[in-house]
Amino acid sequence: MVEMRLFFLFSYNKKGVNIIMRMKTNIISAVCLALLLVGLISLGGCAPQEEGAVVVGSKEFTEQLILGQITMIALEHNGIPTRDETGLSGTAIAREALEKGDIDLYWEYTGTTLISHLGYEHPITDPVECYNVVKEDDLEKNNLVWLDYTPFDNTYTLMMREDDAEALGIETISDLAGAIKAEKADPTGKGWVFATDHEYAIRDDGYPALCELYDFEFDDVIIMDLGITYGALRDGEIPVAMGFATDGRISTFGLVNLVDDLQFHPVYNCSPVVRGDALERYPEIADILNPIAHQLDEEAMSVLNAKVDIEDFAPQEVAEEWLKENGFID
Amino acid sequence: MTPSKPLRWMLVPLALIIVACLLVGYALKYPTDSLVARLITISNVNKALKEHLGLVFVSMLVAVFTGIAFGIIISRPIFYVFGRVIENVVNLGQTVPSLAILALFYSVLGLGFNVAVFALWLYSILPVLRNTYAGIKNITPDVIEAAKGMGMNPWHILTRIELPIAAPIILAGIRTAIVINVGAATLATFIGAGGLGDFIVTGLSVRRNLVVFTGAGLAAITAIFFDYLVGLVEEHLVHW
Repeated sequence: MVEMRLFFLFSYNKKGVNIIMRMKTNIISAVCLALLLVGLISLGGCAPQEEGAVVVGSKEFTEQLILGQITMIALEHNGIPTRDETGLSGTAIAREALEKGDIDLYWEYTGTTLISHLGYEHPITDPVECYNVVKEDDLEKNNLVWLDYTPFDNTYTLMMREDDAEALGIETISDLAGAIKAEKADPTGKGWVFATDHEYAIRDDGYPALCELYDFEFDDVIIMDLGITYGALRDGEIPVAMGFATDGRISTFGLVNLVDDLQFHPVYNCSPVVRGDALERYPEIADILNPIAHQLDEEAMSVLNAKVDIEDFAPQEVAEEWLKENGFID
Repeated sequence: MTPSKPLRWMLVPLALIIVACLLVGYALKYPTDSLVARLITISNVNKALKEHLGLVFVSMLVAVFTGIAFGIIISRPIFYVFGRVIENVVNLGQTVPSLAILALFYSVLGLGFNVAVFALWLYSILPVLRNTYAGIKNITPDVIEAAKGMGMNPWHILTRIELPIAAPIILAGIRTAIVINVGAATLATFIGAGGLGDFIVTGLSVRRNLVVFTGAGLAAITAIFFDYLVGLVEEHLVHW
């Protein structure tokens, strides 16, 4: 309707129309446009907001998006209303949102919280111990509840192409450090360049401390978006890149994880972290999510990741299919 | 020209450089924690700034030359239809978000500097091209007629009449382009081309506002700096 009226007004604006008439039409059309804009904006603001919904967050990468969707579908299936705030960019933002109460739960990795949020300086490499420390500390200090953790350990990993690693005889990060220190030629011919995302480049349990422990340095470090390190490595743009151990692209792209022989990286088992007050409102969240976490082993998670990253399914489809297959929903 | 004029010209750039130094100096002196101290070092700032300026400089250079050249070509009457097509294609390019352009060309061209320059070029060519075209098209036909009457050939008309008259408008286009360019270059960090975006995105991902502020502040200062420089040239040309 409004568009038709506008069209009429504009088309009226021909030669020979006197100046007052023209001003009038201009004013009317301006008012119409303003009304249209206001209408559009208020439409946009009308997103349904359910009372008491559990706000589910996640970080921005594939695994987190899948875990977020799994959580939402499972909770909804059990009659708990949810709101989608998945895809927050980076650990720090997700964590802050949780602490402030902007989100009620998201899946976090034990090692990440241990080092980055609770301020421990030394990584713990035993999954149970790491989990227990984090669970106790976070509950006590921040009233955040760690539900059961997944068997998979999505640790940071340094990757190389399988062929290159074999040709150079590199299996561990120490081997890599040795090769770089011995000034062996790198497989790309552009120097020993390391590709990393923004977060790992600077995290306390990231690149700087890794170089210190293994006592070596790359010729150069290129910082890029997390999702493209795998492809860049496959295409031979760079010799070494960081990635996540459970990523489905590692095996598909013919890459290999270098063994962290000095055990620099802590364990990163994943667990839903829920605000105390949300858990009080819906105590059944724990009973719904705990069995799901138990089912998520390394293989299951890499398959799920690969379905999104390589076969281009949406995280939601993948999450729903997996929940059905494992009998969590029907 | 009064002798104090060059001094006046220097004032704004000097002030900008001082503000930039203060900004970086503050972040260096009062880092909020060890992580910030590790991130903001003289060498890191130098590297990011150099990368950023490199991206802006190369892509702007190419954009100015191609933009003016295309603008001239499409303002010739025989290329009228072609001109419309080019203009619309470039227009379309501008509507695609800059991050999407980077992502798009990353998958075809790979990583790093070259791709980022290409995307930035695509992004900053429009204002130059559009203003060149508009500047030339808006010259009163009488002036061109008079030039023809004086026996000037098309080359002379272009270089002695059309371009000088259109110059302020073309320069205004370059100013717009450079501001867009400096801003968009902060996104180059996503495809490993570095620049000040390194600070912004890293700062955001580890939630260190001082780092974000340093990166964004330096980018803003760079944009104002270049805008001012081209503005000076513009002013100079008008008084010419």
